[in-house]
Amino acid sequence: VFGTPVAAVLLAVELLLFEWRPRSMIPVAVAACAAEAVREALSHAGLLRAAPLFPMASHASLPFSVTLGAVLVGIASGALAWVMTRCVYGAEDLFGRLPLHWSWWPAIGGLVVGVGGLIEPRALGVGYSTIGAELAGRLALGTLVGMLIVKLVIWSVALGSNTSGGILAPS
Amino acid sequence: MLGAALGGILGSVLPGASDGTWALLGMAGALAGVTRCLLMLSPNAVARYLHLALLVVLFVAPITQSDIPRWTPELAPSDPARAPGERGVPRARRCSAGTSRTARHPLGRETTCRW
Repeated sequence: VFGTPVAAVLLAVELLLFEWRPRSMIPVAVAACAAEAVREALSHAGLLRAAPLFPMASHASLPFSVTLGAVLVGIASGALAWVMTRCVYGAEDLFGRLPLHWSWWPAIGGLVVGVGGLIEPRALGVGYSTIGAELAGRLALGTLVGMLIVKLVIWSVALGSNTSGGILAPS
Repeated sequence: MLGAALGGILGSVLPGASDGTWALLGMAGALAGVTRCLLMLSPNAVARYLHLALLVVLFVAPITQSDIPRWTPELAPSDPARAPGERGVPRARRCSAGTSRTARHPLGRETTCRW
């Protein structure tokens, strides 16, 4: 989907196979190379879009001040990741305390997602177009703040309610 | 989406780069934070945005997650039992929200984390 075979190899080894050994790395690398070759062939045949999923314009060399700002962004995004993780487990614990049978949990989670979607429709769905708009800098500050809050709530509640969901693409 | 939104918000006050660049850095940082790994370097980012700033984000964000025990297969056999009154997955066997692991516990239990 993303056309990123190098990242795919590292991701699979790190998150799924647990070990940095040739017996894990080589088969995944071969599979990623094969997938990329097939993807290239399909894109040349016009069956897949050749452009990156999130195209970004080139820019001039970034000044050193950006590096200093990146420290702040790293700390802030790390804090966000901490909040996200805590919210998911908090939601799981919260559902566990509900005096309802677990089969009702996904319905409640879906209700929360629906209400969140009414507040911020961009938070719904896979979110590729929204991520593209974010990376293109097309969203206003208020929209970003609203989306950050709403998406965080509905994502954590949805996952906490044991419905299917993810983080890499949808969030 | 969340990381890019955070980066975009910070980009409104941080100088030196476009909002999109800050959004990219935020997205990379959030992904690195929840997965606590440095794997989110897409070829597009490497080719066009490989910059010290990106590497700084990718290293700083996971460091902030050090208080959350990372789930590894080696951790499972020595997991403490579920604490009294604790619901859900025991905290020692919890992994970050960004990881996806399904591993069979020696006692037959299974732990699955989603991403």
